[in-house]
Amino acid sequence: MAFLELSGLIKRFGTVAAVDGLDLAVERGEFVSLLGPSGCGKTTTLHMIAGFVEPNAGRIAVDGRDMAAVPPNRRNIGIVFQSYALFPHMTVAENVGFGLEMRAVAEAERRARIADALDLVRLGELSQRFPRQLSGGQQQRVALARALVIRPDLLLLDEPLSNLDAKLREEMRVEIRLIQRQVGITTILVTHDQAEALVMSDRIAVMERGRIVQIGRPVDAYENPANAFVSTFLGRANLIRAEVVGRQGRRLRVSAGSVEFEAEGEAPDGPVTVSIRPERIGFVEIGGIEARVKVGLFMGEHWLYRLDSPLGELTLCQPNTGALPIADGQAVRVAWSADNARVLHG
Amino acid sequence: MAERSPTSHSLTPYGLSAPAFIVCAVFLAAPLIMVLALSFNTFTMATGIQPGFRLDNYIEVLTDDYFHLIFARTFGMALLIALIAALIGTPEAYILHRMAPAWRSAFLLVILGPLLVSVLVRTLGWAVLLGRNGIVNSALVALGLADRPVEFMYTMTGVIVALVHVLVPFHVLAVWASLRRLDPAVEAAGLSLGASQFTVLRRIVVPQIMPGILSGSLIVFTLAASAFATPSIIGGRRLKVVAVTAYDEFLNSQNWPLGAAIVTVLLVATVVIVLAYNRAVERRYAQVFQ
Repeated sequence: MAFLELSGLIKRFGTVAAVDGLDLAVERGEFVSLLGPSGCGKTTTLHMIAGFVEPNAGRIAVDGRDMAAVPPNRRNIGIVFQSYALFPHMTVAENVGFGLEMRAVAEAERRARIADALDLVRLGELSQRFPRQLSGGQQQRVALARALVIRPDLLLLDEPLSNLDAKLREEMRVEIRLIQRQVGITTILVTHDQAEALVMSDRIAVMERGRIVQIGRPVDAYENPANAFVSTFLGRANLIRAEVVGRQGRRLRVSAGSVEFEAEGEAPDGPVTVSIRPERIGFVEIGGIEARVKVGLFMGEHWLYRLDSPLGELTLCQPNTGALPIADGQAVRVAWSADNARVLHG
Repeated sequence: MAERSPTSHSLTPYGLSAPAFIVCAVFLAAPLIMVLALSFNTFTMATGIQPGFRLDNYIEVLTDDYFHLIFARTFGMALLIALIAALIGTPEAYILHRMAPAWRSAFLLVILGPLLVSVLVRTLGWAVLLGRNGIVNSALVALGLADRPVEFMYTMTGVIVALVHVLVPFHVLAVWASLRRLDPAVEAAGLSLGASQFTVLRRIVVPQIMPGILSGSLIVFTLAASAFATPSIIGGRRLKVVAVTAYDEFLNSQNWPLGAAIVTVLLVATVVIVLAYNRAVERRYAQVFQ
């Protein structure tokens, strides 16, 4: 039995189902991300786990215990909010200690645990500051310490990094992941940032319109997207409308316009969508298909080329090796291996 | 590209604020100065107002027990009204804050209602309600809560009820403004850390809206201390407050200089109280709220 179990969760706001039959099982100590665009129901799901929103139907169980009748203040869940929601009139130490105070932890133990929690997030020396006197990254750490110090059964992170600048965000991704491993706490992260989900999670649950459309390890979800939505939301993808014209096991022969090529997957004969990641397409001297570079965009560690091809516009990503880039307007040939062309359902 | 001369540029703000400055100077500063000047004149029944610069009026106001009583009554009443308005208005503002937007607009109108009615109409309405044979007394007697009509008219209770009614909206608005600056997630954070709804209110919400509560109380206090129509109609002449006393000196006794001195003392006392209170509040919340 999984540590956190969500089964058949439904939440309607008026006539709109924000969460529409959601099932999820999270193992103890696991880090699972709910990834999806805004309005996909991920935050509502988090709020239902926390107890702030009551589901219309379905069951939430933590460690086998049904949470339906448990009010939010008895759930023993640590939450880090997007705005951090620190108490501005309390010092850092008072903020972190608030949950312990509510649990009537004795003064001496409280002080020790506050110090431990602040050490964990490397903020020990700022304990007497007020939140306003801290930077965004420091406030974020206080919020994390405040959520962890109560030794919650579950840690919920609600878009915790979206208010930080890009550089700090990358650092905090790693740091939160390391702290989570060190503490070993079961964690649910809600995010719309695919890079965040890929870096931090043990498993990613991609959500669309109130449901989980795919759940799996980041690398599996990236390599084998369940549908076109997942393939474009998790990383970039070239989506090609094609027709299945032949097959040999999982290796399908598809035709798109004037081009025929091989792709991997399962689908009945007829129209399909083929997804090819930009970094899996390469320039070749001979073979492949003809294309023309529309524009080359310099991204630092790689080049992104937009190509006109018989398959429509293709995006191609090449690591920046220091070689001269290909000029706009140049005729090129591009190819990919059949393994990297994925036939998608739907 | 037109080059703007630095002189004309630096004069623009003065030019733009000139109309407001002139209005303030003509309609606020000038009358105040005239009242101040008047307060140093003298008055006798026989001679009328005599120009001069004498402190007689101030000495009278500051030493006479009659005026001491009136000032004490006025400020005591204003303090009590501010307290009651805070106790009613703060929860009211919080409930308003938690309402669904559609209901909130409707109830905001109800709360602001008293301010939309002319002070005289509103006060006379209260007089009708609170009179010996008024609705409130009829109801109390009918319900058996009182065996004979309770005296509201010409009592402190009546004045306080009527003034609280009209001044509560100011407190609600002040608190509501600070509630709107509150991050809605802090209440959720408090709950998730194990605090009960009541503890969240007491430990997290109230401390953060304290500046709003305190400034609301200050507004209510100053308006109550300078109220005229309500105390004069409902309190009558037995329960004189400072504003009514000044009015009587001007219009009944014709002793304008004494009336001017009373008004000046009221103004100075109120300003001193407001400044002292503000300083205390700012010092108390300096580190937390900038």
